[in-house]
Amino acid sequence: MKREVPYILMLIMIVLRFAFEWIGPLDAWVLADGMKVRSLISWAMTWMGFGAFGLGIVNFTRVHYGNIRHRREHWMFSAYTIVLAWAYGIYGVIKGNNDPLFSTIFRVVSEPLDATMFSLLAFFIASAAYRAFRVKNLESTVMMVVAFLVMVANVPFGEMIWSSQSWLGGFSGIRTWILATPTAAVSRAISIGAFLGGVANTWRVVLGIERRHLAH
Amino acid sequence: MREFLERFSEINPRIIYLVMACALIIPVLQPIGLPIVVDEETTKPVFDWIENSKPGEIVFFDVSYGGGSNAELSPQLEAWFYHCMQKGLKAVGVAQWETGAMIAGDLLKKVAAAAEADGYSAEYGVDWVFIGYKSMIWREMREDLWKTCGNTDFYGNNFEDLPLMQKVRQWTAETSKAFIIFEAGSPGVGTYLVNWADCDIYVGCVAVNVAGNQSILRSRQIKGLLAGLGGAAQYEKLLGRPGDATSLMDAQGLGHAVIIVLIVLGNISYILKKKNG
Repeated sequence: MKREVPYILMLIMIVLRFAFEWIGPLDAWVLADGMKVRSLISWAMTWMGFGAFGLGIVNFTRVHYGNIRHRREHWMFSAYTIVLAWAYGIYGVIKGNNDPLFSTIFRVVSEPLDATMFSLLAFFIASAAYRAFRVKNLESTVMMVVAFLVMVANVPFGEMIWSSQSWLGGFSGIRTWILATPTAAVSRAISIGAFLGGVANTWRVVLGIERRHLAH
Repeated sequence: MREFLERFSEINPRIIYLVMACALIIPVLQPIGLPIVVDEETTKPVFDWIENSKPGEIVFFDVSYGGGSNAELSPQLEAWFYHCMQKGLKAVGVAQWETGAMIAGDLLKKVAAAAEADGYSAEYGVDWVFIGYKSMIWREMREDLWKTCGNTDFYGNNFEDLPLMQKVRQWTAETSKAFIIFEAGSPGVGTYLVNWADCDIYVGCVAVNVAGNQSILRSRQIKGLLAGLGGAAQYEKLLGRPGDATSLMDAQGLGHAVIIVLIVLGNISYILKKKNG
């Protein structure tokens, strides 16, 4: 039963989803005035998402509570995490996300921390620029030349050196061609490949070949 | 000089960090005014869409980003939203990211106040509404926007009390033919490519997403693209209202220049070392 029930539930959901997406009459099926079956399924999925969110909160609390209880390394950070996450969450639920204190905490703590983490990339790239980006072989040379051209075109200095009004549209024209032709082509190829991989994986799940998500 | 170049790759990273910090901070404090060139294929179509819209037309926008992309995308949102108010358009905003809703909630009020100070009508509920993040079922919004959003906006107002929302019961191509999404990742433009393929979609994205979005721009699935901070600066230039993006572009330009110089010097150092065995 531990295997069959989750598998059957999953199969029902896949069939329902496919049916209501692909079959016109099912898509338009109305139970009562303003009550579309497809809408009800969509709402049910939203509640499932909410359930998964709740499960995440329980799991998060369990993991950090375990760290505190067993005094694992850096357990103090787990204590901070639990207290802050629950306090901020409960306050937000009671007061709403438009509350001045709630939004101030977001604006002066969360937002700057997020921006700071992202900003550190500038220093990582600077560090990598003179130590890692090397022209070791043909492939890396091609990559370096292309990266150089796009980067120069992205900075105002590029326009000062080779104007977009001149031959070939300057660095800007070359960048546009690189992004619009080879990059777009490769990007599409990757997208199509990922999509086909997704479809193949879905069929593996439907046919019961792929069972790892059921902890088998 | 040769010895310096040979040993360049062994230079203390702290020196590099200091150079980078100076390149980023000094232009912010003392703008240089480097030239900004408008991209005709990406930025111009977004500007032309708003510029050529008639007063009273409804446009939607989506704020799907967080603090990490705030510096790049908020100037885009700011310039675009000001332009809407300037042209007398009616803007309705949603968010697929809760963080985006929190950021835009304050920002839009600030821009609306600036537009009103400049003599344009930007009254909340009449000229613009911000619904925010509602954990929405996006496809259902096409049929019943009110119900899907719980009949309330980001600020807690009931849709019944907002005159603009009386015209926006559904979000379809008939309500609004075009909209823009300011996105930093997923969920992002994909939501709209699937569910609003009959509308004109415009995108404002962070610079790292530009390469990925180029393919959907070339296939005309999206009609225009604001590319990172540069896109925002270009929009500000077209609008004739220099803002944060214009001054920050100097810092970004110098930062990129430092990286280019480092790559060149690092490679010269590598080649010289290789030659010497």
